[in-house]
Amino acid sequence: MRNTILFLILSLGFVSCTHIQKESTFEIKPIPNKRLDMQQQIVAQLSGQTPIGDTTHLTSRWTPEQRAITRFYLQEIIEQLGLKAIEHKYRFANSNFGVDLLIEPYTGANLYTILPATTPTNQYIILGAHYDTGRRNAPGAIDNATGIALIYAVVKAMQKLPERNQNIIMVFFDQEEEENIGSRAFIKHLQKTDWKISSVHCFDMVGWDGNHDNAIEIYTPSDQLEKLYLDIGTQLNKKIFNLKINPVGYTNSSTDFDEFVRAGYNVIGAGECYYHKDSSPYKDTYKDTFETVDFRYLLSVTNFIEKILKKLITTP
Amino acid sequence: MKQQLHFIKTNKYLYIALTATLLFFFRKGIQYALLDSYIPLLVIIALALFIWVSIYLLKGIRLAIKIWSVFLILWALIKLLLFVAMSFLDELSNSHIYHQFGIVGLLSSILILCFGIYIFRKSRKLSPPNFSD
Repeated sequence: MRNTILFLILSLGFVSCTHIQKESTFEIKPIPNKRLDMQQQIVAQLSGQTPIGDTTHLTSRWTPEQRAITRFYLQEIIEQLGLKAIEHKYRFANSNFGVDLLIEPYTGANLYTILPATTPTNQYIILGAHYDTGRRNAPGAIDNATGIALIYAVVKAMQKLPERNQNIIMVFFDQEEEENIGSRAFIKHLQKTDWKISSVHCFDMVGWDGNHDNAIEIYTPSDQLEKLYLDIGTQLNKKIFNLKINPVGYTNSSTDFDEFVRAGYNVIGAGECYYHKDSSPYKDTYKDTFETVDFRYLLSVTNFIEKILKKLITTP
Repeated sequence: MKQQLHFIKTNKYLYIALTATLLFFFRKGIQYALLDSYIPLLVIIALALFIWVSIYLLKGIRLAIKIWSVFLILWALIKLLLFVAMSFLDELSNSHIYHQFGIVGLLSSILILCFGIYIFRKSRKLSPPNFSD
């Protein structure tokens, strides 16, 4: 027995010493300027349709290694915008102490960047989308490479505006598929800053329009954001399904949006019509591939969100 | 105090195993306390106090040590079962938990299981100190 224990201790020590962290190094090809090409390239690379660098295909964004490669890719494309990518690493306790006793805390990293206002201000708008996938073999093209492609294109458009009266934070959340840990950690991070967050816009799954009605779904507890989205929707003749959220005693916890509701932010979530049954049937499966993404629909929602953001950051 | 030191000296390896496993969980407790989750640390402190008091008073040592060993064995078995379940049932798979069962995670579970079994076996063979002294 004593020898067995000694052997196990030595083995453990040996294995621990041989654990080496690999550094990601890839040459990321430039992101095209034309919006459709830009979004197709981002979704293709994030879902393994085309390689990142020369040979690396992201078959999923589930393992810590795959998520690290994804972060590296996202960091590179943020820098292609001429912005600084900031990695927000975190450790987070499990949902209950019994689980805490059994396993280690969550560890992960959100990635964000700040597009500054043209005149200094402490007001911030957050655009968020998660980058992880829900299953080990899910490429996550619609869930949620489309959300990433959407906010990337919107931020790129906002950069071109001569005047912006608010800073924009573009954040890619880690571990949304695991109890929204990334966004919960990011909210904690926000609470340590003196930033005044005027609104939060979360996007999850924006690539399916089975009945071709071009509709989107919005969900918010905020009258102000609801009115803004509905008004712009009317201007663009866009069909909007509106889910009014009551923040009092709110317990839902299925996406990053929910965490911001509970934390009391002026938040809105938007995406394809998940609750109105026109949503990708391939969510969290190996079939959530590039081919299933309706890029015409993604483009239409991106143009809609661009109009909303433009209104928010140019209105005094 | 002489009796307590005698107990520790005569059960040197058991004492080392107890200390090592308590330290392992104490580290876990502190790690979570730093993340604002205090119950794991309180549970470990309570168990450690229970063992320490029983050794100090030379009363209920066998029971205290047995409870600790059962805790260790259950902890390790639950972890190993989770690993097996996650390896075969995709719908149960969760990246956060799954990736704690690398070789290091597996070996640490097996190690704690071995410690638990060792402490349990030793607790059965413990000769009670002479309380009349």
